[in-house]
Amino acid sequence: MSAPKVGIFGLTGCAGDQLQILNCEDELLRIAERVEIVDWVMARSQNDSNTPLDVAFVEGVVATERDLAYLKSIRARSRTLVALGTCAVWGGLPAMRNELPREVLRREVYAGGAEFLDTREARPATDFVPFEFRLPGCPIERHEFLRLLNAILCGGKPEFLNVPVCWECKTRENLCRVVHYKEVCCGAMTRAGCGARCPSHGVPCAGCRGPVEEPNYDANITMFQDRGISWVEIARKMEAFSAPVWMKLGLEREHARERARGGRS
Amino acid sequence: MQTLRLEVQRLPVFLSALRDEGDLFAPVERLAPKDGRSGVYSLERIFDVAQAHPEALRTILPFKKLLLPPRTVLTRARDGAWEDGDELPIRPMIFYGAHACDVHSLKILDLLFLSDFADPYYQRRREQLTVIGYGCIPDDKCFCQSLGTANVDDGFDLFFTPLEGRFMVTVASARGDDLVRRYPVGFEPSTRDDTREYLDRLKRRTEAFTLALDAHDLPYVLELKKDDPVWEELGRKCLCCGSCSMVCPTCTCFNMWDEMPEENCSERLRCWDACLYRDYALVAGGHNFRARRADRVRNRYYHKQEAFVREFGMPSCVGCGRCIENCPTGIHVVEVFQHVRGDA
Repeated sequence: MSAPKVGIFGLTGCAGDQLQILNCEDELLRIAERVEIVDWVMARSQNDSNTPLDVAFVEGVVATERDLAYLKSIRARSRTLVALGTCAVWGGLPAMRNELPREVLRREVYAGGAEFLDTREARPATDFVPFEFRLPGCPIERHEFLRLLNAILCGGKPEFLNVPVCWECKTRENLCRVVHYKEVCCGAMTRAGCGARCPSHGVPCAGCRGPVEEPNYDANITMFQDRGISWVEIARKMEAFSAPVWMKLGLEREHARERARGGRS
Repeated sequence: MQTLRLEVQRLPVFLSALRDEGDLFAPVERLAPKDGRSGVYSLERIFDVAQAHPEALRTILPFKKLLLPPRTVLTRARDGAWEDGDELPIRPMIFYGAHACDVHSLKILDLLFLSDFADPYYQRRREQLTVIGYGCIPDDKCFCQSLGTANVDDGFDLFFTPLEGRFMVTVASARGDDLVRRYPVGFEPSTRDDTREYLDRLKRRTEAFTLALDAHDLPYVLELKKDDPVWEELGRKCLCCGSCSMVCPTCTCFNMWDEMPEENCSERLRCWDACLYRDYALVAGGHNFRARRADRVRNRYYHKQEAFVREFGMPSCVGCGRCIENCPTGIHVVEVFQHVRGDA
């Protein structure tokens, strides 16, 4: 039996998830022996962009028409497709400013000198084609990637827990960023798997792994407000990764309330 | 049970000697970035007995972490051969600084993991554990007195109760007796004065409690309050972050799954879980017995104060106050039950 054929691809994004694969320095050579990496622009100069793939990894958002066509072509040639990183799974940072019209961005950034751009609203790759697996993280965790790869190569299905970062944070006995430091920490809204990396280094969770299933946004906001943190500050921290759409609606509601009160805070 | 006395300055000598018996664990203050003091403690292995804060009322994680680590590799298959996930033999552990509530929680863990079908992973750690208690004075989050767990006369090896310039030392096991004989650092039979002062201290301690939970008929009250609106309210307030379960000395739910960290290596893991997490009651076919937050919050309280009482004749809450201290949205277990009763 020949080695499974693998492709690794990046749409619009920072390529940080692909870099994390390259960072698996101790494991990389063994991986290269077990699979045949036929298409990986970041790491190879000669790539085969037609061969059908057993496994394909895709990172990034769809932000151009070209991204979308590329994503569809990858899906068409792959048996197992894996979304790699928060951009591909949730939209991540590129999707943060979707409320600004593309035309405005084009004008402000390129001053009209960019006819080649086929930009469109940034959306996660998972919005467009079906994926077999989704591995969030900004960037992905190496150990999760290796677990996923090992499981796929054995025909298994790895379990990634649907629990919040607090689960890992408590077991590391960190001082709670909310209780002790009165900060906006997105840990309770965010999917675990990172080992509570940020709180363990003394910074609140930014929510980069995307939301846990059914986060209690209302109670989180009340919790921050009860500690004297302003709505604007809360929104700034939460809208990055945790609750982009929801926060936008929340801000609109808040502004409507302020207008109704006839004042501004 | 036997009682002894020990001069205060002799205790460090005894504890230092105990390091020959195994790894010594005690509450240690967590470092905070600014002034270094956090007022928050965790149970850690210590090498210098001066680091120990046995008087600290609660560590973030209770000492279940020594017996049921948050993440245990139960077994590992490597290149087709099976091996134990633990590094064996398990080293002897001495926990210095257990309070009465801790010892009661240990009894509950023993009940769950050693009766009927003993859990071998728990058992082999438990056999290596020596428990040395330390008399505490409650704060505004302690309510062990309401649950009958404020005092303890067995389930530990030694118990040090601080008196003026000396300790009353209670010996409650053969292992405890061995230790005071093996390290005769100045243990003497206790005197009537010691006993008098000890009882005075107990009285002062009893009077020091400010928090109380009327638990005597809670199972019956809860039985009637299953659809009380209070659970919906709590469901709206709770983040389901699981902090209360992680820090609870008697929450022992776990999840098990297999992982393949490397090629040709697979591990069966046992990790802490919580009934507050959405997937906890998810079963094959996609049905979730407690899909709503309110259902999950209610379940946790019912398990502690209703189901456990019906099965074992006592609640599985020991009144340590950890969930009160750690809940980020300020859910207060005593207030919850007052609310359920309609008292508040």
